[in-house]
Amino acid sequence: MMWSMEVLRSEFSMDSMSRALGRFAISILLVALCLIGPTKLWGQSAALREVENQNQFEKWVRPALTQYCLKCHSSDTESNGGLVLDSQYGWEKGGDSGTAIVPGRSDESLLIKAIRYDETKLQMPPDKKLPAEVVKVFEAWVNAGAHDPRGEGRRSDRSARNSPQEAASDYWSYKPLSVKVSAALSSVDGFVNQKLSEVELLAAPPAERRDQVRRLYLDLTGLPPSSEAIQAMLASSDFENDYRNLVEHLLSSPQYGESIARRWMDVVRYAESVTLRGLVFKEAWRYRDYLIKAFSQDRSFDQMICEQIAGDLLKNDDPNERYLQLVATTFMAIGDTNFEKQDKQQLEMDYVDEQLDVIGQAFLGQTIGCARCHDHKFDPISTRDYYAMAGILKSAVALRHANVSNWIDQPLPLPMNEEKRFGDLESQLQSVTKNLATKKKEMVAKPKKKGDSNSLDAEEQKETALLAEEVKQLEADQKQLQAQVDLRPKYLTIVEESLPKDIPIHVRGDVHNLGDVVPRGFLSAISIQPFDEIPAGASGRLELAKWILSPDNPLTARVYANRVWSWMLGQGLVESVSNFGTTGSVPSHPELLDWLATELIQNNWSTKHLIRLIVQSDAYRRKVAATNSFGFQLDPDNRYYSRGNQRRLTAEELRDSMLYASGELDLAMGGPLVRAETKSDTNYKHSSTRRSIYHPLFRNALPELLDTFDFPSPSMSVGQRPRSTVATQALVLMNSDWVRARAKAMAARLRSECEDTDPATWIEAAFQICFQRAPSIDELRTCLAFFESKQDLQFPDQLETLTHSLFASIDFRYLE
Amino acid sequence: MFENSFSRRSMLRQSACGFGGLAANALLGRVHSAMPSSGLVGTHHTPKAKRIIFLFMFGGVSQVDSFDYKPALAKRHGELLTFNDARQLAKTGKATEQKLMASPWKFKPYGQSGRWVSDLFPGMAEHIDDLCLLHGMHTEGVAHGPATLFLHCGSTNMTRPSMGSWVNYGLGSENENLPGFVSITPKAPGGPRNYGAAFLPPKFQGTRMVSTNTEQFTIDNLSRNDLSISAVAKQVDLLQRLNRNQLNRRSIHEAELEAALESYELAWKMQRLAPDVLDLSTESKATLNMYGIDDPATKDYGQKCLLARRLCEAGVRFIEVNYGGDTGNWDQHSDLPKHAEHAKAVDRPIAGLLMDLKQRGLLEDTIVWWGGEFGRTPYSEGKGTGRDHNPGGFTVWLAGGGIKAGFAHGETDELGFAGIDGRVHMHDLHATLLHQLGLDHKKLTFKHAGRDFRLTDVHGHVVHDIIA
Repeated sequence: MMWSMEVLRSEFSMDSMSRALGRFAISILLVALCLIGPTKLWGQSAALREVENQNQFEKWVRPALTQYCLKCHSSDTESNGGLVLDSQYGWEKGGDSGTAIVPGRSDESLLIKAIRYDETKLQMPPDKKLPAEVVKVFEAWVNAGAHDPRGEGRRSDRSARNSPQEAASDYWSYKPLSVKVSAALSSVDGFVNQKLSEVELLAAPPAERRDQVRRLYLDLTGLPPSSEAIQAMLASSDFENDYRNLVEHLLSSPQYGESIARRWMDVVRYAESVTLRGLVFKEAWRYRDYLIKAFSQDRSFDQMICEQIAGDLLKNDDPNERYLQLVATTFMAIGDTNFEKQDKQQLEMDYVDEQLDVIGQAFLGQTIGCARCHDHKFDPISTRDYYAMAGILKSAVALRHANVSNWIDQPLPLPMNEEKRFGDLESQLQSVTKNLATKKKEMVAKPKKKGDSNSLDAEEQKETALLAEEVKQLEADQKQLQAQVDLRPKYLTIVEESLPKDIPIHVRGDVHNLGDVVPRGFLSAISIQPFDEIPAGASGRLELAKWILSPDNPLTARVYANRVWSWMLGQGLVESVSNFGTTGSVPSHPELLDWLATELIQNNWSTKHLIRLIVQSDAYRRKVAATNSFGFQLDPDNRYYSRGNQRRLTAEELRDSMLYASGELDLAMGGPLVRAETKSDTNYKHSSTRRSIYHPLFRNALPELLDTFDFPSPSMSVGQRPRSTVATQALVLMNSDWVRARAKAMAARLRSECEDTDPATWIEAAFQICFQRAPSIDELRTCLAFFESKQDLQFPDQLETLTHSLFASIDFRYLE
Repeated sequence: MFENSFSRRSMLRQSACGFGGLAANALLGRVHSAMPSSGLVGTHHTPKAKRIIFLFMFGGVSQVDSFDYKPALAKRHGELLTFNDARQLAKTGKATEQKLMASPWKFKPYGQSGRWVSDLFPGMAEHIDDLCLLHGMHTEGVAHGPATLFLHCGSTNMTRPSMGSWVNYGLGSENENLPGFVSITPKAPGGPRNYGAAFLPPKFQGTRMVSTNTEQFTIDNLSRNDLSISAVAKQVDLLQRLNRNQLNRRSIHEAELEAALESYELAWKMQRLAPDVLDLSTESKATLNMYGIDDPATKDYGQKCLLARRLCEAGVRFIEVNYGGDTGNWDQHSDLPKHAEHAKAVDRPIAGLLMDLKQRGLLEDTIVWWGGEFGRTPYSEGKGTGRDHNPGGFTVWLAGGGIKAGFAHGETDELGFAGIDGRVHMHDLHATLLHQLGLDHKKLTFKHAGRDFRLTDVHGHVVHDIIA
């Protein structure tokens, strides 16, 4: 009688009565009551069964699926959790958690478990449990064999697509560096000029000497030249030779390391606090100083890669080198972590994800994070690859859990005598702590004095007082010793403590939904022997670093060479500097890029070598010109480098230049600037006149100006800064106390340095300091007119208003 | 010289202008006309609302003591029951025994809809027929840090743009002289990330408004107090003359330089006009009283709510009015009765805001969103005198902007712990709010690091049941 007309008729007859509950619920209820079990079907003919199955599905299951499930689980709308229920193929294949339905076995079917709301982690539909009757319908349908007349659905169009792995394997960035670079072209200009002639563009002439020198100073040191330096170059009788010498001079200046380190700090999301509660990373500055030192001494970049990822796992007997290796690993630990997250398993995986994201973008130009929840949709990075690498990073401990988990500051190795001194202090501290605990216990054991002093005799009272005195003394000792022990230098890092192990795939990124365990490894699309092997007992972190820096890895050298190019020219040969995947851009000059990458590798990964090649080229030194003959219309973005790009000062350069002009800039290098008593970064007052790179980089309190002038978010890896022109920038330049103070200081400087006190002398000197040139006649006239309006006594100091205006003017902010 | 042939990229880069468009827009007029006139994306369907005022109750208001009336809880006070307490579950994966705690406040029905509200909020209760209560809210994050970020940015840990930034990215500003996204005295953990643009262009980041003294609000660096307005005018004149001199010396006039010049004009305009919007002293005494500004207990939040209305009139798209910071917020782990202090501080100001918006006809196209980052448990924390965080079931209300009025959607179980019907995830709420503004949360995307990102990640459903 299961699917007979009687049931259907009774549904219709019930229809009019079903006002409150709704027609569907009632009809489902009736069907459910009829579905006693599948056995009754067996006696019927196959043909009849077929028809009845179909009826059952069409009448009850399909409407229920449509009403409750398909909104989120169909190929027409979306496939949440990877599951579609619009075909038999869909539920057979299942979602990320596996097959949804096991025909005949409702208790083993995930779909049934989900709609029963049995488990807290898997409850569907998410907003409300289905009516019990509907659950029964699904159970009965599954137990009866889950007959689904919809069959294959759209299986065919789904499987027809090539996997991204296949499609991407012949994408340019995954191919080995091209070796057939012709000797004739082997210079930056060789490649650039060849392209120019191909597209029939004329190259602009070199920029004015003054502009070339200013450009070089800013690009290599982040500071403007002195007007004397400019004068010397203007007077040069052999400019080419002197330009080359100037390049060498600047590359060896201390400010070079600061300037390049700052660019790399964007990429590694360098910061000294987290936004959560403004907690301060007190040791992070050591990593900043490592970067400055490393770039200054032109440390091989491959070595820097290795040190930043796995410096702790390297060895070196030289204590100075060992120090650098250790502090480099702070790279792994400065993410903007939400230490308060309560699900600590999830927190640990978020932490690893952040590390992978930065490593992927910074070194490989890959968006590895996409594969956390599903295979990368566009690039050859599978979820297996993701968890293979995640397993490596998970093998290190980065957090000590508490309500707000703690990061890890490790003691730095010290010279023997210092090591002994701190060792002694530690053991003293331990013994005091132990002693204190014992005494405190005694205190508790003593009978309490409760108002009735007669109950304690004088002796006992004396003893108690003595004990209290002792405890007080011990507490003071403990505090004092702790303070001394805390002085021991530490560094922010991650540590490998326990045996490494492989981790399972986290289905859809969920730490509570685990799939297959994946052996630790790297991106399978880039196989480089012998680095693919992780020795027994090792976590694989060192091997990961070696795999990344291998000259056979086609991505690493390309990505870095392109970065250095973008640092000098303002844009990359590959515009998406941190995305070399298939969703990124393709190189404008592929051969030039490969040549630069090869030069990098062949010259011991020297950053300075690349910079020399670039800044000595004609392409770098061209005039910022816009006549159509130089391709302004044909090539508005200047992708062919037929002319110079307008360079504007970064936030730090702008800030440092003002301090430089006001005569206040303190060029001291290195060391921590965070004031010792700082508990939280919120409302931190920056007061130093050091270069911007040394200011505590606080995520909740950036130094003045930085925030407004496109300083990148220090919470994520940034390859290319945004470039905005906004009214808030104008407000800061006109009104901020900080800029006003610099203008005032510069006015004072002019007054003390100029012998004459007439405005014309001041104006002349101010232009030399700010722009390293004399004022034009128009400019002089404008400025003098301002001074001459003497009747206007509204300004406390007209000279200050002038210097202030020069800081805000376009020549101060934009190079020619 | 540079009339045409700007690529889309250089155009976007060079005309990326601050609060609203700079003259670069005029400069690039013909190119720009190909783009949606207001925002970068434009609406996807006809909007029902133009802006949002978000009254953020930081710390987490207890639903069972305010809008989610549970008579059973009073009856079963003191009973020991096993709960899937979110914090314990996250830490240990286990359910724990907890002691039910009745609400110390009395409830009574209000308005035509007859919905029950506790004595905590008598002022808001008078507006019950304007509100749409969402009783089945749930969210991510058991602690303030993660949950607050999730509320603002749709992620507990990753760096993502704030909702106000998404809205401005989608719709653009209604007023070129003011920022499109304002956060009034933000103090919650997560700091600038809660109103940051993350990877969206910087012009979409929220602007912080701070109070300079007890009467006046301002934007950082809006003006200087040591110069008269005519002196500032002379300073701007000098600067712009110098700028034009310098521009003329250059071989080309790149649009970026023109935009820089224009940014000073706009800043100068803002400097003159914005203080008027931020100045509450021109409001009538009756209005000030309506917001409770006459009472020291309600003055602070009252002023912020009044400022929100003024910003709303001035065309700001997304205004967050923060209540509570590191010191003093709704986070009553112990001493639940302290809720009364906070309720007192916000109730009259919010009632005043609702009344004022309604009187001025602004409620029709403004959504007021009231709520915290999560709710609180119906049992006491550690069997003490307060309630712990509860992300699994809590109440948020919306008013205006095409949302059903005098309506309630969803419910928690009989004790008010977990949403059991009409559950609305924070992603769903985000999706619904965007929907009312004419934005499809699935189409409002931005390409970053190789893929399209959106506020709701891969989640979120518009809650059509609450749309009028």
